[in-house]
Amino acid sequence: MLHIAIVEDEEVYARILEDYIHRYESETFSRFKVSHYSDGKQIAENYSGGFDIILMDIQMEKMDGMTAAEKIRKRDPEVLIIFITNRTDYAVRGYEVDALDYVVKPVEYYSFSQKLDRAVNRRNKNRDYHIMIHADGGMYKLAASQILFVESERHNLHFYTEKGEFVSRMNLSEAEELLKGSGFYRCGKGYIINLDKIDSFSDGICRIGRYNVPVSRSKKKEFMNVLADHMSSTLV
Amino acid sequence: MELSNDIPRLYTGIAEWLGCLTVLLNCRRRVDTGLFIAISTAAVVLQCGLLVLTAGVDAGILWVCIMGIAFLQMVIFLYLCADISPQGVLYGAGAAFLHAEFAASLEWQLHAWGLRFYPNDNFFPSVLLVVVYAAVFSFFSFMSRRHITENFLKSLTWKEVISISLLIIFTFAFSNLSFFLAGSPFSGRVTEDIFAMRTLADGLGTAVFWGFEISISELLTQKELYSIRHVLSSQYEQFRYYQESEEMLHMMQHDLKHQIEGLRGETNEQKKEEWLDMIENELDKWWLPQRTGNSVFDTILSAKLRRARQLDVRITCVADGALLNCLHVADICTIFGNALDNALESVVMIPDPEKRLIHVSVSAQKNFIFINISNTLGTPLIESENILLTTKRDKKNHGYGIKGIKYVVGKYGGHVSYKADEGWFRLNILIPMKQINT
Repeated sequence: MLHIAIVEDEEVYARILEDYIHRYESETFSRFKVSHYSDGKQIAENYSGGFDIILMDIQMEKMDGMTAAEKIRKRDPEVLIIFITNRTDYAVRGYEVDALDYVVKPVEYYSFSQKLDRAVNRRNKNRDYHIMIHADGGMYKLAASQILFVESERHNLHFYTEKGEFVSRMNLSEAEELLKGSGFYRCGKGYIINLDKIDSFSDGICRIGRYNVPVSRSKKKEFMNVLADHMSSTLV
Repeated sequence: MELSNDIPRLYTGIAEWLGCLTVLLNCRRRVDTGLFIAISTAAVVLQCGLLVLTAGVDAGILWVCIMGIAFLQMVIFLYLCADISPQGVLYGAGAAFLHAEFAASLEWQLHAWGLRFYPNDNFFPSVLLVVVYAAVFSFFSFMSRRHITENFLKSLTWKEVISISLLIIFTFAFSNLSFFLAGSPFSGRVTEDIFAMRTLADGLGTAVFWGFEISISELLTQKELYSIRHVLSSQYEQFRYYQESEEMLHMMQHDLKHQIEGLRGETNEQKKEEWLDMIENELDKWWLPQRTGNSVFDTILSAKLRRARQLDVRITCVADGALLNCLHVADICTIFGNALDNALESVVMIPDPEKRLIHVSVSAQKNFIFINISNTLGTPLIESENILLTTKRDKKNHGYGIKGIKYVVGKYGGHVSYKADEGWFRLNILIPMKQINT
C-alpha cells in the first residue's frame, strides 16, 4: 500500500486533497495510507522516510514547501514530490528539488487524478525486479536495476553489473525475455543495455560508465525512440 | 501494315501489369496484402486476356480503342489498390503505360536481334523476357522510388497531369507511327528498323518523362522547405513581439510597485488592505516566469501561458531552463513555440475545460537534455509519412510545425519522437549534450 503525505497548512485545502484521494481510490480500486502535516517544518524535521508520495503546499507559515522539499530530498532521493501552489512561478523551479510535478490551486479533480496516476504508476514501476542466473556453478540473484548491460560471446553471456561481471551459459534471446518490460533494449546483435544507465550516445556508441556499447546502424533511430519513450515513462 | 512477328500481346499485357506494380510498390495501399494479391491476380488475367483475345485486330480506330480500354483497366487497378488522389492514379497509370511500352519494345527488339544467334532455341525467348523485364522494371522502380512518394502523388496538379498525359500520348503515337502510315517520313520499312525506331521513341519519351518528374519533385521539396522556413521565422517574429510586450509588462509591474509605495500612506487600514490585495492579484495574473534560467524560454512560456488562460487551458511546467542556454535563440523559439501551439490547438478541442491539460518538462538525464511536452487528447491522431495531420483548417502550413522541430533538433544530433498513450499525446525530444559542447 502506498503511503501519501499531505503537507498543507490550510485545513480546507487539506480536506479537499483527502477527498480527491478517496475518490481516486474508489475509481481505481486502490488503497492508500494518508498522513497529514500542517507545516513544512513538521515533516522535514526528524524526517524518517517511509513515504511514497508527498503532496506539498508551497506557501506555508513556518517553513515553505520549497525549503522543506530540499531538506527531504537530501535524505530521501526516492520519494515523489508534487507541489500544491497558487503561484506557478515557484513551481517552475521544481526541478531543483527533483519534484515530479505540481498542481495549481484551486485544485481540480481531473488534473489532480492524472498527476497522482502518473506518480502511482512510477512508484509501482520502481519496485525492483530480480532475475536468477546460473554463473560460476551457482545461482545468482541479480537486481535488474544493477545490470549495466549484457554482452554475448559465443555460447556465454556476460552480465556487466555495478557489482562486477557475471558469466552465464545462456543466449541473448533468453536474457531478453527475462528482462522484458524492465527498461532494457537489444541494441544490436550481441548486446542488451539498461536504458537507465546510458550516460551518453554519439556516433553509434553508447557510453555506460567506462564501457562503450555499439548500437547497430539499422537500430539507431529505433534506439533513440525507445530511449526517449523510456525517459518519458519514468520521468514525466 | 502487316507485321507477322510483332510483340506477342501476352508480353505487352505482362509489361503493363508490371508497370502498375512498380507504382504500387512505391505508395501506400488502401487494401491489405491478401486482397492486394487477389486484385493483382485478377488484374494480370484481365490485362493479358484483353490483349490476347484482341490480337487479331489490325492497326486502326478499333485498335486504338482497345489500347484505351487496356489503359482504363490499369487506371482501375491502381485506383482499387493505391491510396492516392485521382490525379495520382492517372499519373501512375500513365507512367506504368509508358514504362510498359518501353520495356516491351526493348525486349522485342532484343528478341528479334537475338533470333539470329539462337534461331531454334525454345528457352531463349522466355529467358530473355524474364531477364529484360526484371532489369527494366527494377531500374524503373529504383528511379521512381525517390520521386513517386505519397506526397508527390498527392500534390500533383491537373495541369501537370495533363501535360504528362500529352507527352505519353505523343510518345505512344510516334512510336507506333510505322504501323499506321507505311509511307510517312517517320516510318521505317524494314521490320528491324521499325522495332529500333519504336524503342528509340519510347526511350526518349521515358527520358523526357523522368526529367519532368524530377523537376516537379524538386519544386515540391523547395515548396516544403520554404514552408518550414516560413514557420521557423514566424515563431521568431512572435518571440520578438512577446519580448516587447514583456517589457511593457515589466513597466506596468514597476508602476504598480510605486502605487503600492503610495498606498502605504493610506490611513484607513481596511481600505489599504483591500487595495493592496487587489494590486497583488493583478500582478499575479500577469505572472512572469523569469526564473527558469533561460530568458527566451521564459518569454515564450509566459506568452503561451497567457494564451492558455484565454483558452481556459491548464499548463504546468517543470523546467531547468539553464539547460537550453546552449541552443540558439531561434531554435528554442521553434521547438517550444511550435510544440506549445500544437498542444494548445489540440486541447481546445476537448469540450470539458478541466480536461485541457498541458505539461512541459525540461530536465537533464545523464548527458542528454530531455524535453517533454504532453497534452491530453480529445480526438485520435492520424499520422502520415512522419507528418502529423490535425483536424485544423490550415492544413497547408500545419504539420510543418513538427517538421520544423525535427529539423532544428536534428541540427544538434537530437531525436524527436511522439506517441499517444493513456489519453495523452507525448512529444519527446532528446538532445545529446556532448555534441553541443564540441
